[in-house]
Amino acid sequence: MTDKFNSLDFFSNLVLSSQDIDSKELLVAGSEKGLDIYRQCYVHTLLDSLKNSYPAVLKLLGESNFNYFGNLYIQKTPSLSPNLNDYGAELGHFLVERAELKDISYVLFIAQLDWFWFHSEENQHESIQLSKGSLALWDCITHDKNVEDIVIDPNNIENVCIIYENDTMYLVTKE
Amino acid sequence: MQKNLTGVGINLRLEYIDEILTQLPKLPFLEIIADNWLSLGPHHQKLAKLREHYEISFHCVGMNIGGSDIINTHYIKKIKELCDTYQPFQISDHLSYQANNGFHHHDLLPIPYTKKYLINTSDRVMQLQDLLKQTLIVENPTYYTAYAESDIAEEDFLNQLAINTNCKLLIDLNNIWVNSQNFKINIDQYMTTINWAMVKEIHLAGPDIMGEFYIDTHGSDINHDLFQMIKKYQDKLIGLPIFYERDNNIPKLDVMLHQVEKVSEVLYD
Repeated sequence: MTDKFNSLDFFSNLVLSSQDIDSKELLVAGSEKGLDIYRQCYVHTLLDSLKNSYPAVLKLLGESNFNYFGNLYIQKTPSLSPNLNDYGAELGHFLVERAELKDISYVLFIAQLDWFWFHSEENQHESIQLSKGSLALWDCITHDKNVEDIVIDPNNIENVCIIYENDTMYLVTKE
Repeated sequence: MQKNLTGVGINLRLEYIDEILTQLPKLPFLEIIADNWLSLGPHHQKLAKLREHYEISFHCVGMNIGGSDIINTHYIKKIKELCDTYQPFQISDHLSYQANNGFHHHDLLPIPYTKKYLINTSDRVMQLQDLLKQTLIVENPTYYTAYAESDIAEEDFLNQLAINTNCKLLIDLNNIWVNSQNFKINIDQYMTTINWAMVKEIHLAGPDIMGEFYIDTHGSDINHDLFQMIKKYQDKLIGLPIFYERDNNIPKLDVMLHQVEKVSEVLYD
């Protein structure tokens, strides 16, 4: 924080903090009511961005649960890039550490595949390693197919990469 | 690359891009939020195709013009690369700050209007113009809180910023109207004080009301009051590029084009 521009620091902190901070030295009396607009906009923008980046996690958790965990993630994780598409890289690790989600620990793999796919243009020459069956599950969730027969095998790894065929990108497993 | 273009265009949302490419509606230009094109993807091929048919301007939301963090040269480099690729006829951002101590708000936070912040903003605009190697256009924002220390009217702040840096101004009529509703600023005083010789672009939009505030959501049609403003200040607006912005409650393209027609009728008939 610099003394020179402490009003900017103060206002930014007011927006990022959900606590009731005394703002009467900073803001014209009465105008602090507008702070909630900035606070709501911040959460709304980042939550929308997470939904955009993690469509299969959104389907897996459902809108209400996604909003709940997304809000917790946003409180804990500031955005460090001007490019909104960069926000949320660690959501999978955040979710898998939540006690409420311990029975669906594969949410980590679904999140990692969402993120890998969302950034597919940058990941064309990359691959990720996940428990065997993760891609099949992600594919079923993404395309609203039955997931009952999918088995996630934590003792075996699958490599997932991107291939380009007929101007279309696909996620595939490779040995 | 600055060109003197006039008429009424729209901001280009991705939702419209295929339809515009197919229909090629008669529009003088389109505006894109450059920040939405920072990432790679097939949407770039479509923009390149559109560029064959339309002039475009760049509108940015991440330069942090009024902030105190050091200028994000990585971001500006990316914006400059987009400029080199798509050759917009002008480029703008807002009189606000969007990042602080490395934390990005992805929103337009207000700055105090004081001499100290005018000097800071002027220094930063100069730096940005040097990096971009072109004139920057700075837009008047909406705000929902007011700093106790502000002692310069926004219109005077913008005029002085333009004198200090030779930047140009983008006047958003809806933002002035929204601020007049929320903070009782005098629209006529604002519109007659602004140095119109420095104004190079106009924005129009429709707000929404939430609680006791009008919010600049870009979520509705242009309202009656704004059409009255357009008519009243017709002589100042008529030679400028004008954009109708819509980012929420997205209508069909026809509705956007109808708004453009209505503005054109008021302005040019």
